[in-house]
Amino acid sequence: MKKQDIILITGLLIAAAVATLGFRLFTRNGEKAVVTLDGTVILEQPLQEDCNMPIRSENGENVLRIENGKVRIIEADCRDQICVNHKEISKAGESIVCLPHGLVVEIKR
Amino acid sequence: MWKIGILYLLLINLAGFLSMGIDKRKAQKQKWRIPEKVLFLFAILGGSAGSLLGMYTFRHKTKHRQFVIGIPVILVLQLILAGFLIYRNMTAVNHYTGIGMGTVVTADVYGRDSKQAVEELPAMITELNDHALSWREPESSISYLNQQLQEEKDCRLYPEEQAWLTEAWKLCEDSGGALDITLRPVLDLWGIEGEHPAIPDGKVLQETLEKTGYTKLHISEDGNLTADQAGMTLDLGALGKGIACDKIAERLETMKISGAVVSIGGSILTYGKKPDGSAWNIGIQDPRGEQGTAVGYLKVMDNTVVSTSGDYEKYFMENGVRYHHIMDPVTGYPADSGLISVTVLCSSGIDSDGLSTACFVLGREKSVELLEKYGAEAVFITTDKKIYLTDGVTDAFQLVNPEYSIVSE
Repeated sequence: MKKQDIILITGLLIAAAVATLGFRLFTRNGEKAVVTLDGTVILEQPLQEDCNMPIRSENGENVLRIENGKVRIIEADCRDQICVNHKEISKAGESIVCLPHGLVVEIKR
Repeated sequence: MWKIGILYLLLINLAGFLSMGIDKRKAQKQKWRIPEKVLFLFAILGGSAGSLLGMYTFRHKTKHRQFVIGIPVILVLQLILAGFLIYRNMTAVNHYTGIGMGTVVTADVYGRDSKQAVEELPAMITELNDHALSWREPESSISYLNQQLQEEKDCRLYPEEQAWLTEAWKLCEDSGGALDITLRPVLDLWGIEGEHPAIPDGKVLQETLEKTGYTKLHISEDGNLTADQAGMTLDLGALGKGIACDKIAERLETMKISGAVVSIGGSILTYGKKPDGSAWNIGIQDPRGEQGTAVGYLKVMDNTVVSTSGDYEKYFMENGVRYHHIMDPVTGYPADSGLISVTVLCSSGIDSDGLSTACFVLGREKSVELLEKYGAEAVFITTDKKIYLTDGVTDAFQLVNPEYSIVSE
């Protein structure tokens, strides 16, 4: 094997490694808040856009806020206010639930 | 699916191997040759190992630079790709968030059957809730039993019901009545889960307490449930989520699941191992903090059910005093034992749930013996934000909230 061959092989392997890493890094973006009512998805909001979204359900209303990529329920007319007292969520897999309204807000990739 | 893949790999590598031998033969006999592009194609399609082996077995193309470099490179690239895909597959997690048994259910499941497990989960929990455990659901077994008990009629229990009720009764007995599965009338009187909870009138409370008392229930060995008086009500609310955890663990055993963490309200099941073999990190809710913030984390291994009972789950405030939903069966008032939460770790879900309620009512000192009897560990958080750990978890707990402090004895 000549020196050129070794350079060629190394080059190819590095290119492959870079391609793989790049692929993995770029599949991380695009997180969104997925809102379900009684199991049915009613809304998907990307986290990059700030918004204030009222959500009406059979038993009442909740207001969802997305700000700086973080999600909160800022207002609700349920008795226990557990959803309003939940800490803000921002990572995939995290969720806020309003039990009396059957509302689930989950962050997905 | 896997089998098709392996079969394909065997065939293509065989093709790669043989193609080298055949081409060598044709070269020797000066006949029509396999085009070099085709030889490379076999390698690229997955047969690179076979091609390489063929090259050196038949001494073919071994002086041909393109092949000497190209075939091994293709093999290495394919091995890297294969390794990456296998790693991805093994660490793949399926996730679920939803509502079940009147509370929040979340699950992270790892393993080949994880997708299927996650798909089955909501139905399993609903089935268990609606048809067996929930006193709220008119079609459930518990509701049927309650109907019978109302009229002081005897009832025969299904084997599973008998197992649950027998264990529940044992927990009531071992805890000296701190856990009592007949307290529903008292909870209804307080109305804690309704729109207008209120402190009940003393006399009415006494009368209601007369309708309770697990000692008035009897479960015979051959599955007969009887009560000493009419009007009794069974409520497995304190145990239901633990029972569900046990059933889920049973189901996961029958599937190809390497690990899972399933939380049903305050009862969390850890099953198997995480892909990297490390312990599960289970957060304990800060009893006075925002929902979703932890006081600290527990490192939990293998199959354990972690159950928490606290005064912050269902309560109302009146004149600055907190009235929560964990009743002291003797006074009929919310238990006042110096704790704001207790988290129990036990390999049995029904025990873990029952113990967390019992320990909350008993308080820390009186709980120690009970916990030992069941081989369980616990984390106690007192009203003055002090944390006490049983011996088995002192090394497993990590505090993250500086407002609390660990007391070592």
